[in-house]
Amino acid sequence: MVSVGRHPNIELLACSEIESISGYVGNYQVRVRRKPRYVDESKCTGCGNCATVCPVEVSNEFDRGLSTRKAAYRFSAQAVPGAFAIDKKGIAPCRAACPTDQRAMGYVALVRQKRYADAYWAIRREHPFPSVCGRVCNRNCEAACSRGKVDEPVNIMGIKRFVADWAYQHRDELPNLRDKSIVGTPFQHKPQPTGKRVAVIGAGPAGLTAALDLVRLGHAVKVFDAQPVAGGMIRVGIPPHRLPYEMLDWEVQQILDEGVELQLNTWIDDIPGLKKRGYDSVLIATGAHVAKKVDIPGKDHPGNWLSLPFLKQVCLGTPPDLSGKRVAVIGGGNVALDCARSAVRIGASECRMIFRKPKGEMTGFEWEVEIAEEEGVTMCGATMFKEIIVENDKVVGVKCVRTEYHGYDAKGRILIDELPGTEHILPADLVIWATGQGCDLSFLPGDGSVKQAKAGIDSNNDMMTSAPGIFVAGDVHRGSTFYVVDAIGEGHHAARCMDRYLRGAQGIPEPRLPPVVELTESEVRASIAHGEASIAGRVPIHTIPLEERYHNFREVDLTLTEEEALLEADRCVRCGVCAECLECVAACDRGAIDHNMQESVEEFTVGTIILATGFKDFDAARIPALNYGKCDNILSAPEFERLINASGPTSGKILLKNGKPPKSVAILHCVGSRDEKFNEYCSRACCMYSLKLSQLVHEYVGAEVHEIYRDMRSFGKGYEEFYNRTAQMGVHFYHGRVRSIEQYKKTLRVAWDESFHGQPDHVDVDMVILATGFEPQADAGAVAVQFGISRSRNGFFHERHPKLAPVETTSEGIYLAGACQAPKDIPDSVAQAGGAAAAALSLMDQGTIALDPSIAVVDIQRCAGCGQCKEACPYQAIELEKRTAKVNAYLCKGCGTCAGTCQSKAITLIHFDDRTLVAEMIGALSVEYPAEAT
Amino acid sequence: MNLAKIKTGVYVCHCGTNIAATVDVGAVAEFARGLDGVVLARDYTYMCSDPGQDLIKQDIKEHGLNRVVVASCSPLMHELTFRRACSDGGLNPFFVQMANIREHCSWVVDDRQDATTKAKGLVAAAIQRVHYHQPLDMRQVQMTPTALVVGGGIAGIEAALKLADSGKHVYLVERESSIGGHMAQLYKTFPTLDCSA
Repeated sequence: MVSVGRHPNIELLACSEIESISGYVGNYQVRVRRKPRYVDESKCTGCGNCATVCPVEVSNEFDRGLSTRKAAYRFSAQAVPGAFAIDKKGIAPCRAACPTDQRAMGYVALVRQKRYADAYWAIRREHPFPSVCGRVCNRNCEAACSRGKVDEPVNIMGIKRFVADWAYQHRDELPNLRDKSIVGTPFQHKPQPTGKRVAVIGAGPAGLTAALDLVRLGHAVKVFDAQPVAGGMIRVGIPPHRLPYEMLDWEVQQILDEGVELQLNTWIDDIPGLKKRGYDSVLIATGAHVAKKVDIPGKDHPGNWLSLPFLKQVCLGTPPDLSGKRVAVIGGGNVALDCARSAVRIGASECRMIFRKPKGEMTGFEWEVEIAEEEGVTMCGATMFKEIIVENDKVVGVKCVRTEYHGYDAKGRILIDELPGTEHILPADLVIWATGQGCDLSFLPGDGSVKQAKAGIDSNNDMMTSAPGIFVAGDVHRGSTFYVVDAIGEGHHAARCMDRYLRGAQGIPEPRLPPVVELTESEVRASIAHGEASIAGRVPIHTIPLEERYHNFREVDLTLTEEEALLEADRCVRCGVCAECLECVAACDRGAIDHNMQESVEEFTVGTIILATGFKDFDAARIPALNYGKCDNILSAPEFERLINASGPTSGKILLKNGKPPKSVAILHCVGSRDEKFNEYCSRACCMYSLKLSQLVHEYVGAEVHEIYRDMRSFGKGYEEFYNRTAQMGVHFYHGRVRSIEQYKKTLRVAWDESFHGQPDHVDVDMVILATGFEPQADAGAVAVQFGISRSRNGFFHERHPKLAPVETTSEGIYLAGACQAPKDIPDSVAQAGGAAAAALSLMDQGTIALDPSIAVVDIQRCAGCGQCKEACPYQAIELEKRTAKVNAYLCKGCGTCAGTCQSKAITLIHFDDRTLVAEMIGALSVEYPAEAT
Repeated sequence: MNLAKIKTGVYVCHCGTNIAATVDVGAVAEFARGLDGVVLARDYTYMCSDPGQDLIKQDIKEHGLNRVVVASCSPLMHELTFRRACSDGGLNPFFVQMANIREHCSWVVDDRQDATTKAKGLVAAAIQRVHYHQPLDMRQVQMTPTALVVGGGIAGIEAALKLADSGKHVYLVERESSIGGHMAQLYKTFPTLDCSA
C-alpha cells in the first residue's frame, strides 16, 4: 500500500469512480468522476485535528460497524493516501431550505456534544441574530427536516434559541470560550482593508447582515437609521412577548464590535449626496414600515389605528392604555396576531381578529393562532369587513359579511365569494388595521434615477438598482414585509454583489453548493434503528402560565432546558453525515479543508485496463435460522477479523458482549456458499481463513474451538499442512450442514445435519463465527456493461477462456485480476494480478496492435443519412458527415448491429455481406439432414 | 466471381479422437473433393500441429491454392494459427475459413452418421462462403503505453505496482478514500500467518 502511494509512475485517484470508457484497445478514453474529499490531499499532513473537533460520530465501516468514527476521518491508520476526508453526502435539507444558508445541522451536532459556545459561533457565522430566529422564525428548515417523514421534525428553532440564550447568559466569558475546539476566538482574523466605503440605509436585519458581511470582507461600512433603536422591523414591529430586546441589542452590539459603524435618528434622503461624501457604494435596506388600510366607509375616523405605529409604541415601551376597550384587528397575518396579542396585554376587554379567509387558511402561524385564542383573542375567519360603523363620532363596530373561500386562480388572485344575507355587526371601540404593509420611498432621488418596481425598488439579478453602485435588499426590495430569514438572506446576497462591484474579479462569487441530500422515509427509519438518532418524540416548547401574561409583556415561550435541548439534538438523523459546522476549517492549521469542493471529472487515455473491483461479503442475515444480527456474539468472519486486529475496535482483544473473553467458539463453514438457496459455488477462501481464525482464537484466547465444515478444502500449496497443524492444536472438527443457531441458556446452541456416525450434532458455545462467502459486487452488472465485458452465471466477471485466456476478457486490452473474476484467496489474487499485469505489459510493449479488419463499410451511394446506425452502434463508431454515415475503423468492433439497422442496406460488414452469407447458407443446406435433426 | 479461378484446399482434422471418433473424417474429405472449386481435400490427425500446418503451406505452393478451409475446432482456438500458416505459405490470411466440426458437431452430436452429415454441411458452408472472401489487412493502431487499474484492493495494488515498476504510467482508481480493500482489514493471513497491511 505504501509503495503505491510513493510510486512515481502511479497516479492514485481515490474517492473516484469510472464515469465512462470509450475508444478502443490501445486508446481507451477514460472519464473518472472524482468525488470531493473536502480535504486537499496535497496540504493535509494527517494530523487529525479535524477529526478531534468534528462533532459527528458515525458507524465505522472499516471496523465493520463495531466502532464509530467521525465525519472527518481517515479510512484507516495506514490509509493511502494518508489524507483525511470528510464524509459529506451533500447539504442537508434544513440548510438548503434556509434563505440565510444557515447550517442548522452544524449547531445541532455541536449541541449534541454539549459544545454550546462552538454552536453559537457556528450559528453566527451566517446568522447575526440567533436570538431572533430562535424565536420568531417561519422555520423553513423544520418543514424540510427529514425527521418529519417519520414523526415530527427536529425542533431546530428551539435548539437555536437554547444556544442563543445560553450564549447571552455566558456573554462575559463567551469571547474566550471555544469548548473543545483548538483555535482562539472566532472571527479573529483581520481582513485586509480594501479602502472602499459603503453606506447602508436601514439598520434592520437586511442592512445589518450586509454591513457585517462587508466589514468581514475588509470594507468600511456605516449604517444609518431613522429610528432611535437599531434592528428595524424586528425591533419596532415584533412585540416583546415574542421577542425580548436585550439579547437583540447585544447581538447588534456584537456587529458593531466587529467594526460596523452605526448612526441612529438619521433620515437619509440624499443618496447622490452620500456618493459625494465619499461612499463608493450604497445599500438601501429601509424596510416596509407603512401600514395600509382597505378602502371601506368609516376607515378615516380617528378610531381607526394602523398596525405598525401601534406596534412601534408597544415595542418602544410606551404602549397606549386600552383598558376596557373592545378591539377589532383587521387582518389574519402575523402582524395582526402581534397587534391582537398586544391589545389583550394592555387591557382590551374584547379582541377580535377579522379576516377574509377561513381560520385554517390564514397567513398567521398556526401555533400562534392557538396561543392567541388561549389568551382571549376571538378569530372571526371567513368574514369580510364592509364598513366601520361610527355613531356619535365614536367607532361602535365593524359591519361584516360571511365569505366562502375558493383558493387562488391561475393568476394568483384570491377567489372569495361574499354570502348574501349574512350581514352582521361585530362590536368594537377601536379598529387596528393590519392588512398589509408597504414602503415609504419618499427618500429616493426625485430624478427617477433609482427606478421603483410595482412594489418596492427594482433591481437587476445582482441586487443593483437602476443607479450604478446603489443596491437594495430586504423588504424595500420586495415591497412588503417578509420573514426575518428572507431579509438576512438578501443581506448576504447584496453583500456579495456589492463586494464584486467594489472589487471586480476579486470579489467573492456566489457559492456553488453541493447537491441536497434527500433521505427516504425508510432511510430515516434505518438511521433511527441504527441508533444514529434517538427514537424519542419532539420536545415541545413550554409557555408561561396564561394568568401571567396580562398587563405585562413577559415573553410567553420558554427556552428549552439543557436536558430538553440535548434530547432534541439527539433526534437529528444527520442527513448529509457531515454537519457542516465548519469546526474542522478552524482547526486545520494547513488550510487544507474546503467545504465547497466540487465534484470534478478527469479525462485521460490508456492503452490497457485491469479490472480489480473485488467482491462483497455474503450477508449472513439472509439466513434467518442463523439469527445473525439478532443474538449477541454471532459475528461474521470479516467482523471477527476487525475484533482480533490489533488496530481494531478492541485493540485486538476478543471479548463477548458482556466484556468477558469467550471460553468456546464455533466456526461455521460455507455460510452463503455451496447452498442452492444462495450461491451454488464454493467461495474457496473460507475453509482456509476459518482454519486461520481457529489458530488465532486458540493462540490468543485459549478457547475451545469447534469447526463445523461441509468438506475441508485445503487444496493450495502448504494448505493441507496448515490444516494438519490446526488439527494438532486440538481444534475440534465436525462434519455437518448447520441447521440453526439459537440462544440456549447463556450460550449459543449450534445444531447441524449430516453429522458423521458417532459424532455430535450440536455444540453449545459462547461465540459463533460465520465463514461468510464471496459475492459479486452489487454494481458488478453496471461495471460489466460500462467496460463491455460479460459476466458468468453467478455474476462474477467472465474471463475469455477458463484455461487459455484466464485474465483476458472478450474486450481486447481489458484484463481481470482478483475476486471480481471469481472467489479467490490472497495468493491466487496476487498471482492473477501479476498475470494480468504481464498480459497488459505484453500488449503495451508491442507499440502497435493489429485489429481484425472485418468491420462495417458504408455504401455512400445508398446511405440516406438517417442516422439510425449511429444510434444503434454500441461503440459510438459511426458519425454523420455531410449527411452520410462514416465508420471509424478503429472504434468499429464488427458486431454488425448497424448493418441490421440500416433500412437502405447501405451498410455491410466485410466478409459478412449478403452474398457471402447466402453462399454460406446454401452450402450448409446442401446436405440432407435426418428428419428429426432439422 | 469466376469459379474457374478458385482453387480451394480443404483440411479435415481428426483432433485425435475428439472429432474422428464421432465424425467420419474420411467421408467428409471425400465429400468436399466433389464440391465446386475444391482442388484437394485431406484429413489429418492434428491440423494445428506443425506437420499439419506444413501441409497447408506446401499445398499453397504446390497446387496454387487461393482458398483454404480447415474443418476442426472453434476459431477462438486456432483461427490465428491457420491464418499464420496461410500467410507463411504466401496467401492472404483472410482467405482461410474454419468450419467448427468439434464444438458445433462431434462434441454435441452422438450419432456418427448424423455427425458426419452435419460436418459435411458445415464444410460445404465454409467452402461456399470462402469463395467470396477478399484479401484484407489487419488494422494497425498505436498503443498508448499507459494503463488504468480499477480497484485498489490487493489485486489492483499488485497489478498497478507490476505495471509501474516496468516504467508504465498507471492510473489507479479507487472508490473509497484509501486503497487497501478487504486485505487492509485483515489481521494475519494464511498460510504464513504474517501481517496483511
